[in-house]
Amino acid sequence: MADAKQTKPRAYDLAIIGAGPAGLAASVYASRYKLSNVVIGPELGGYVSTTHLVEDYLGFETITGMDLANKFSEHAKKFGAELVQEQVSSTSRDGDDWVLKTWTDKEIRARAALLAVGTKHNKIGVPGEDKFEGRGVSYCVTCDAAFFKGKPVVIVGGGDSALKGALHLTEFASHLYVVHRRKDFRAEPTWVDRVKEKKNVTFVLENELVEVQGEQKVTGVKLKRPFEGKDTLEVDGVFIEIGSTPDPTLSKAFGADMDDGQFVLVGDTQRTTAERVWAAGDNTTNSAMFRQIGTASAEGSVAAGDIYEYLNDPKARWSDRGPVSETAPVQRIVTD
Amino acid sequence: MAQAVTSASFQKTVLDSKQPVLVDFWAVWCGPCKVLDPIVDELGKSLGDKLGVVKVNVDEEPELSQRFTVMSIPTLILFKDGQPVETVIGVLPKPELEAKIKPYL
Repeated sequence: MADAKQTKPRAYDLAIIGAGPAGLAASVYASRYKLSNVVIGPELGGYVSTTHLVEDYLGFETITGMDLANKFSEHAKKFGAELVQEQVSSTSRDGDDWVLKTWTDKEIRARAALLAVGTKHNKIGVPGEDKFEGRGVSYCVTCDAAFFKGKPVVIVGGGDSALKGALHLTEFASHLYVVHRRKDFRAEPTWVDRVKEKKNVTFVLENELVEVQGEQKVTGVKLKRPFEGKDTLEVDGVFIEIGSTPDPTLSKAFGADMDDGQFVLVGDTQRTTAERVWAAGDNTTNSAMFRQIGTASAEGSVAAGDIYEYLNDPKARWSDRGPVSETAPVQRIVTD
Repeated sequence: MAQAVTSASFQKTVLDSKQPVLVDFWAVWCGPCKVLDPIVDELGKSLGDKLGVVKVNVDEEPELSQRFTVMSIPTLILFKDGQPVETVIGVLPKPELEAKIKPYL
């Protein structure tokens, strides 16, 4: 065992888990503060990389999600980040260090950890949804839209992701149905207007999908209420964009408390209830849970500033800026 | 980096192969495909003597995607003796992928 101890890898100042805007912004600030840092995340750019267009991040009038994601990761790399394109599969403590293991059993040690893992797509939970995933049901418009060239498809949802996805799908599909359970949309009105301008779109509002139908692949969907006299829509593709929620696995592994929706409770400087663990981005309760690229990168930046102060102040106590675990419910700005 | 196959080379490289071949259907615009990329490369390295690993760019080879009903990427299809025997849609960690492939090796 003594040998194993001698060969243990060096500890980074900061391990950032998640390579989206929160994690990469934190890395840029950490590098400038001369904190050695590693960003561990399977998808460089996170959700941004699968977004069709971004037009609400300052400095970029319009840019594809993939291009912006590349710019984010290049920026972080240039300033000194080490990027590990993997997922963290387990966490443990060794003295003051966090010890993280990845998918391929890499061991990464760090004095501080930042949990910036974002969220995962929600499923509707209707019959046929799982059965036809990859056979017409998709959760990634940018990945799969091109498979439906000249075919009728449906997209479900009324937030930014759904409306941006709809806009992208109109470039491929012969016809697009947008099914949304309310009359109004939570997406930015700009996206709604852009979709409404398209000729190959029908809005099916105040309605819901209750079943995905097909044999080998999707042939249609069943609606809760009849639309134009029929309770089915004949489509080849079903795109689901009904929001997202955090995966609680790593929050639990770190011992960070969460709210009822599995969002990590954080204080003003992004500290969680677990010592030496910060959280930033879409998976936290801060920024009114607005969940934008701007708010994610802001939270990551704030966290990096606090991590720098904490690691450099021998008198610092976690509770000085710790979160209040019994917080009043966050008044959310809902976008999905 | 896994070898790229086309509809012209698919028969020889995949269907006529004596050892099982894992085919990775991908595209440049697909973020999750980039996540899977290093995992597939690692599999090629660790199981390389028993498993062939190749890639199909769905943008350049729509015929192959249609032939094997690929409607979502990334999709991995394992071929053995010229037949598809296992399909994985989306990203899985390396140990889970290995567990799905090993029974066929």
